[in-house]
Amino acid sequence: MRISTRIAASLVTLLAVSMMAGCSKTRPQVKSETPVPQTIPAEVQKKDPNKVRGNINAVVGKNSTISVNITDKDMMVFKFNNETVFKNASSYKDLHAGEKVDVVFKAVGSENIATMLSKVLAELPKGASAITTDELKTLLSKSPEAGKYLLFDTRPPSRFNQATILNSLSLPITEMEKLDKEGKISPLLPNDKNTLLVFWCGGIT
Amino acid sequence: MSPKAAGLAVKYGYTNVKVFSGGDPAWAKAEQPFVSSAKFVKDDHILLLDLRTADKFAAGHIPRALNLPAAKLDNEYQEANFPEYKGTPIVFYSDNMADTDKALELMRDYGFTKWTYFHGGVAKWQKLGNPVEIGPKPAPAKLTYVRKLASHEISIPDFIKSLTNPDVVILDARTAAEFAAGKFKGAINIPSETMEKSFNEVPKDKPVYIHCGTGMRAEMAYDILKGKGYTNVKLLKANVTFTGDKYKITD
Repeated sequence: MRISTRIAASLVTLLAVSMMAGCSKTRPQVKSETPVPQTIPAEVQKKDPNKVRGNINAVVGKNSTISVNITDKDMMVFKFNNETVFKNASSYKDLHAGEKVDVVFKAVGSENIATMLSKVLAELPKGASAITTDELKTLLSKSPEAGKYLLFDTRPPSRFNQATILNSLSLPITEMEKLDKEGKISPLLPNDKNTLLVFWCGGIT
Repeated sequence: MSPKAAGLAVKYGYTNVKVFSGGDPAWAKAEQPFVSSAKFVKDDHILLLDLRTADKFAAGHIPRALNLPAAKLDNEYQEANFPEYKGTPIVFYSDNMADTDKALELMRDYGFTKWTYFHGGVAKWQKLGNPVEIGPKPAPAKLTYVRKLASHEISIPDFIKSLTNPDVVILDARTAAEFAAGKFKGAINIPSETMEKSFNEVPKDKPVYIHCGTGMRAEMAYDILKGKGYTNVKLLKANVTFTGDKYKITD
């Protein structure tokens, strides 16, 4: 337990750090089939103390509980039930430790009941697709030359220098955007337009 | 922002563009290691450990490295032999991945948060045109790491002292919601995301100490203010949490 707790602790640190790594904002919530009772303006949502965002610590189906590490705060435990609305997930089974969720909840007695659990997804631009951790691991078993791929760390150079994924090239998004505005393309991008390009950053905030 | 980068690549006509949207947190969660650059190994204030045998080390090692043969890990060297500060940036290198993996796994178990390796070891180091040193330099029984504060950083004790000093402005760079949930008495809140627009609210005539939850957003806010010509600003690189009106600051 001690070790796993520590892994969780260091993960939280990494996640907190990654928040600032010049990374993605999350996309507006994907509308699910389940109608949402009412739409709350974003401004109000931010101030609503009964809405929190955090990383899932654990989901226990047996007890219908989910524990969430709230960003910069402590862990909170929520109960879910038949009335809980799941977004971007069909049920609690699609929620996993480490993923980011928005939780809307109400306090009932000493318990916090989740009325909505919404998995926070990253928005992918048209023409790009996702690569999973396992797929990336497989890709990395070959060198970029052998695997005909290029891996780009789009975080700031200081983060790249400190700790990056093997075979990554440093291509900060700020640099890419600057060049783009000047009508230029980074010389790190290959001539062959069919080369597999993988971009990564500090994850979803 | 990798989706944005991928969007640009698509715009440029690349046909096979992917995004690893989990990023480094997902990579860490999968217990995969991270590599440090030669620049980082050369310039940063780190604990650099060479896992090879004493004779290989003596024949040529990366300058500043200490020799901690992998066989001594989890043996003569236990958690207590490593620095107390869990944020110590520890960089390992070796001539084989098995030893490196063993070292990294132990660091994970010990609760260190900044462990990496230099991929390719001495061979790569030399290939990049860097000099090596020769001779033995065994790691001491107790490894130490002294944190260095940059000139724009404020130490935790000095920060705490300043909380009761009315001449110091405490600037909270977290979001309004976080600020509402718990804050330092008298602190002003300008979230790092809005600093670019709202920097004018920051006084120029008093010392200003910036904090957030981890030090990262404080640094962003600091960079913006520095760019605007502020010279009276320092930042706290530490974890700050609030429980009600009680605060906790840790390294």
